[in-house]
Amino acid sequence: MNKKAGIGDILLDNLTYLILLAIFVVGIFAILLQFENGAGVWGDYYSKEIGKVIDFSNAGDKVCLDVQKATEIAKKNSVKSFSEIFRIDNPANEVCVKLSLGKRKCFNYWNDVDVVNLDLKFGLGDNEKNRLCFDVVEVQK
Amino acid sequence: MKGILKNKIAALGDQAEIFVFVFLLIFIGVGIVSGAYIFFGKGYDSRMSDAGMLSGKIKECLNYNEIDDKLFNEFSVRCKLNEDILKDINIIKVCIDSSDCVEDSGKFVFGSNFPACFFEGTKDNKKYHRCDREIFLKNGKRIEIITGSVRNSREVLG
Repeated sequence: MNKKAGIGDILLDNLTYLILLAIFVVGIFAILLQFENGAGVWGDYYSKEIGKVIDFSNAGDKVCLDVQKATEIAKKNSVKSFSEIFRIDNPANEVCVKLSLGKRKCFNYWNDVDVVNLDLKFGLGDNEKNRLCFDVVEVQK
Repeated sequence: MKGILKNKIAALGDQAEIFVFVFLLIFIGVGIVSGAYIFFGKGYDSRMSDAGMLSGKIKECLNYNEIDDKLFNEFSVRCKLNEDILKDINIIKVCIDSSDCVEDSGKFVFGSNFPACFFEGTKDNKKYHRCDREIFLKNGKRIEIITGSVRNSREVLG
């Protein structure tokens, strides 16, 4: 009986430390969660590169980009469908890349064109990479 | 009296222990977070390539079109640039036969604070524009384009 009371006392004595430790663990976990397999950094990279490709494209161009790394990261981070990974919003001139659950990186392009026929093509052979293909056209009002 | 003094010393010891504990947590935390930052890097700074691309696009536009007041009046439409996107993130100045385009009023100006763009101290500060300068000749006229960019990606929930 006394021993049980002793354990309670020890816990109570160290309550401050336990609370501090819990805050620390939650804080560190929240910070490290942002890095999830480099999802933040790669999402940033892909959104910027796709945006820049759109910027220097002209209406009539057909573009295909290697997005193997992005699809691998998205799969590791349980992004449910591949169609969720890349999204282009023509009215807002914005490209968004989602490589982890609940967050996406968005980047605006200033070239006044529209992007249509966005299609993620899966590489079938060993040397084939997953590719994101789209067509650049004049602004469709 | 002696007993009370001893208790006070003990209480002081307990409080000091918390500081040691907190210091240890901070020390470990800084180590873990800085390790992660070193491993993943501080992000991808695309301002310089952005500015270069914009000046290239404008050069292409000026080469393709007749350079006159009408072109500069309808600059964004004729060069297919979306002003709504450009207004917060880019600066543009076009000068013709100018000796100092940074200080001159320019033939076409979009945005401000051009002198800051070439300061060495602002290169690593993502709040400042990184700039590009393009100079070329057309019909015997020296055309200078200065563009700057602070364009960055942003995180959206969902």
